[in-house]
Amino acid sequence: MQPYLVFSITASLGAMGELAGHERRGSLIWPGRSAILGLLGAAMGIERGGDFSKLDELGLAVAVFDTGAPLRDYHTVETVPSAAAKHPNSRPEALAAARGRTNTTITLRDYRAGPLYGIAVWGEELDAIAAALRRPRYTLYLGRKSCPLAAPPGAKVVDTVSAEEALTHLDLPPWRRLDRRGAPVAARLLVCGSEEGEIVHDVPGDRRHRHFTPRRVTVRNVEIVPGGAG
Amino acid sequence: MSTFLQFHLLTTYGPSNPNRDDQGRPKQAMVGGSPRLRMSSQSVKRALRESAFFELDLQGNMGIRTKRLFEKLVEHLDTQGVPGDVASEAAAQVAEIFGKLEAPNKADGNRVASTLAFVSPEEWRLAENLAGKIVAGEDMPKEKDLKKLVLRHADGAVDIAMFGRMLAADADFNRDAAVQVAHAITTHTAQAEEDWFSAVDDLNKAEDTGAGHLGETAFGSGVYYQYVCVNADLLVENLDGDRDLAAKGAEALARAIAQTSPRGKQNSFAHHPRAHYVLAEKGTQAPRDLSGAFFSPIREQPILDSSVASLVRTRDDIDAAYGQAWDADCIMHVGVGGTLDEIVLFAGDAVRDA
Repeated sequence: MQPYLVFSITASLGAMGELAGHERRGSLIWPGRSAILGLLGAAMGIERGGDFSKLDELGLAVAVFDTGAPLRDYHTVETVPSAAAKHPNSRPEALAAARGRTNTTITLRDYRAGPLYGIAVWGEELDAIAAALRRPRYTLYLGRKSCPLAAPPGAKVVDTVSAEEALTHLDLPPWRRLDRRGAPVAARLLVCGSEEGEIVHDVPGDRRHRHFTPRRVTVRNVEIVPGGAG
Repeated sequence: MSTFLQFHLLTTYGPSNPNRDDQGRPKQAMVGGSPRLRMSSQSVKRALRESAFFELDLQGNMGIRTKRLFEKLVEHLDTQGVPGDVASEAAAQVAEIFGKLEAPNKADGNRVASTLAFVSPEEWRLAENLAGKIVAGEDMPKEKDLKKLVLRHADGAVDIAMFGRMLAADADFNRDAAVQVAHAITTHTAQAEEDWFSAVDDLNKAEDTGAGHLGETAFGSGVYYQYVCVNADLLVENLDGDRDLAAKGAEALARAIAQTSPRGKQNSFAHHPRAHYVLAEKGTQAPRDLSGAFFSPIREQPILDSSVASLVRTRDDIDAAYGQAWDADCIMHVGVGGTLDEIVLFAGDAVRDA
């Protein structure tokens, strides 16, 4: 038996980036390690350049209830050449200073519409993290700032024998408790760090420059049905 | 923990195409297995930051654009029982702070300013206070210092504080956005439709009649759910601790989100929608949007009323499941009750008290 912090994340749109450039940013079908640590860091009020060392020690598992539908957003960005406006105080000011000599670039962003995940976390100071998830310092979101969570994470700490068992204690949002056929919703995949398995590049390295290092994960077939202790 | 100010809006768009995809059609999304119309967060943010409400706010003034400050101050003093000539003199002294006044109207003694002035709600209050003090005969500072008592300056960049900035070249000037704007989606199943059109050549009266131009354009219509969340503490921090300015920004934001929309094809479709329902909430609990209310698309008519009912029900359900997610709230529901002014006041106070 050991304590696990469990919580759920769902959003009408979410984005779980892997490798990303300016023009095109894709999305994984589940949130990587850096996405979860970023969410916990936001809750705790750790700034981008701040000390993540304690969070970096945590173990994580992600239960995939719904990967969401893929969505590709196309948008245009109007940019002001940096020579045209030095340290403008506002965007209208920058645009005015550019006097029409702006550039337009096209970007593509991938999202997942309606994803639902359960997260299990183990390690030190789980109660403090749970408290921060209930009353966060910074806004929580699923990958991009435009992707607000559609329900509070509902963080709680439970004592169980495994992450898989801990995730059965999740409280899912009211409208996601049943699947389309009216049966209790189940997670079919569990993603855990491991010694063997596939390689993903989602371990934050240099946060300021957004470098990610590889780790191995196993993606296990499971059937996790929440609704244990409510 | 921080104080979060959350807005939930339901707004009806008639046939329109405010935010286009790469094919020129309204943006769409599949949510909960059903197709919806969508407006991206960036298009909404652009509409907000280019709105008159923000323009005024960045100038440090917001709210009412008028020449009639004098008249309103006289009225205000009159309700306090101040005699006419005393009131006129005090009102003139205060109104002059905002700009030169024209000579009194011979018939009724009223005076208007020679130019329009933007007066923020806070400045109205301060102007009324000051007029009251003058009437009471309190010692007043010299004219230059008088201005400082009433006029609020806004040198900070409210839009950058709100929507953030990323400068790859100079990361020290980066700002984390204090305002989160979600993509807006329809509460119900909705898809883009095609309009086929022709245009006639006015001078072509010969036998070769017919359209001079053929084209098609796509549009859509629906009730959109929009969610906006302000991290009040971060907003104040981003504005270098200027809490008044942050509050003013929140007030401008509240006005703008209810009355602004992305302008794509606005001259073709003349969409100028205003929010039908606005729920503002504040609290330190983890914010959440209420898009779960529409994960299963609304089907019952009337769609707008059903959307409001579903939003309210989902909010209650979330509170029941996770504990109340807010401490105080304020609602404007057109035809039912509440005003945008109340929402604006609530927003400003939420940031001022954060």
